[in-house]
Amino acid sequence: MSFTEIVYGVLFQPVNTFRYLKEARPLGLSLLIWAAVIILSVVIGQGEAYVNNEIKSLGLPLQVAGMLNWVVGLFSFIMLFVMAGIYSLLADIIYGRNNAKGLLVCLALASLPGVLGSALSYVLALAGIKWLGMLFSLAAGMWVIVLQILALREALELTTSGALLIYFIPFIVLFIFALLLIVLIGIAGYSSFNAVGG
Amino acid sequence: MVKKRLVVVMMVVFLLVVGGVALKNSSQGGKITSKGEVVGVINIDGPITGSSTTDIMGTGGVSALDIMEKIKTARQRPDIKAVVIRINSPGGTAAASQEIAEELDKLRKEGKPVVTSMGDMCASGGYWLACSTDYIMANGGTLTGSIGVIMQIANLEELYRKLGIEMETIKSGKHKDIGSSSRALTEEERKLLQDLIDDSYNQFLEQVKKGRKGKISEEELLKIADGRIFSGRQALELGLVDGLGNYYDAIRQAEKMAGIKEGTAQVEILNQPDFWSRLGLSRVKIDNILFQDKWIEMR
Repeated sequence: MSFTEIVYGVLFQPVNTFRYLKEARPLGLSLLIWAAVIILSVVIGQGEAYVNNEIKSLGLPLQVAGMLNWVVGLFSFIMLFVMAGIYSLLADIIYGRNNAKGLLVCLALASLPGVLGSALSYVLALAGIKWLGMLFSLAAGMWVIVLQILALREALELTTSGALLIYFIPFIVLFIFALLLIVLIGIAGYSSFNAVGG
Repeated sequence: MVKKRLVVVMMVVFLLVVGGVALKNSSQGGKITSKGEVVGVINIDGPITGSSTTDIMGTGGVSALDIMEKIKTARQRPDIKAVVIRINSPGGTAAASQEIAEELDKLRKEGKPVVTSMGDMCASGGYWLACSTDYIMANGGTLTGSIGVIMQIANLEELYRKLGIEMETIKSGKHKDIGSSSRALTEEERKLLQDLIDDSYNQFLEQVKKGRKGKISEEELLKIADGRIFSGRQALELGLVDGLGNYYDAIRQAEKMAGIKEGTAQVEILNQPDFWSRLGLSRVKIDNILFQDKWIEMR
């Protein structure tokens, strides 16, 4: 498959494309596309923040806000590898399936609609129709989630329910950790309050 | 195949064009969205200092350099027709207030009216700035005035003695350690510093005379320019301010003076409060009036 076919396929024929990608595993090309997506997302996000006055409302100095955008971009790049590693490990533990490299390629390309959503949202914000832009962003975000689940299913040869389970396990674990942390902080605060109160 | 290629090419071109516009927009600080006539607002919130940077928590006061930069921006941008200086400050260093005031004078010379909107407090160095604007609007309860200059030096000689600290001073001239905390001032030093304070005070008086010409007589000014503070209402009666009203009234006044139809100007805050200010870590508190770590202050 050529670059054009891969990009078109991920967007409009994701199942067949992911099936091809898990076998062919064009790591260099997919990471290049992923990097382009991240850079464009950061640049567009920065422009959109100005239009929507988000930077101003946060009160961040412009240089700090700009730097923060790039840090988030870099973090996303690292997170791609972390996600692929965690999902691959989970699939290996639970279903005995493993294809880390194939999954990395598929997950990288699954993020493509995200940048389209950002771009449309920015254009609509410039046109003064922010609400429609937000809807497009939301739709693009959903599209990315669906593609990521399909990427998991195809790259690791799982059922849809299996892919859904693997996809949401890290979020559930994070949620439980956050909950535990809040409870622990609450208990610690309550104890020190009692100690002060005598 | 042709269809796929067309779709992908169109998508890539679209993304590149949008990316380019976004890059241009953000590098211009969002100016691309600015349409029509703008009233620029510059916030001066805190003690005014000549320092070019504030500390990491943003608690070092208002940097004169930052404010001057914003005034320059207002001068250069053709869409900004008038400027409101929102002052909430107990004062600051003499030189910093002077620098900002000079920049305000340049802005006014360009034909852009400048209106002061006083917040809780606009005293001393803050009032110095207000005198370089075309119209001063205060709230009835604003604390203003404090026309005067102060320098305070702590004499810790006795404390050092109790702690067993003995300061050794090696100096190139007899006045090099003037103001040292390890000994009392000599009469000669006291006179030197008094002359310095008097000169700064005279400069302050000249600034007020220039800014309030025709609104308060020199005789009246000399009577009240002894460092005392006034409420906004008292200041109006004395001619130290031009009107009573809030921030929005000041915006309307700026619109009126710039010949803009009331309520039609875009209001753009040229310097937003920083992140730490929003967390409440650099608010002007009443105890900041005892702003004692500066050499010469106006408060």
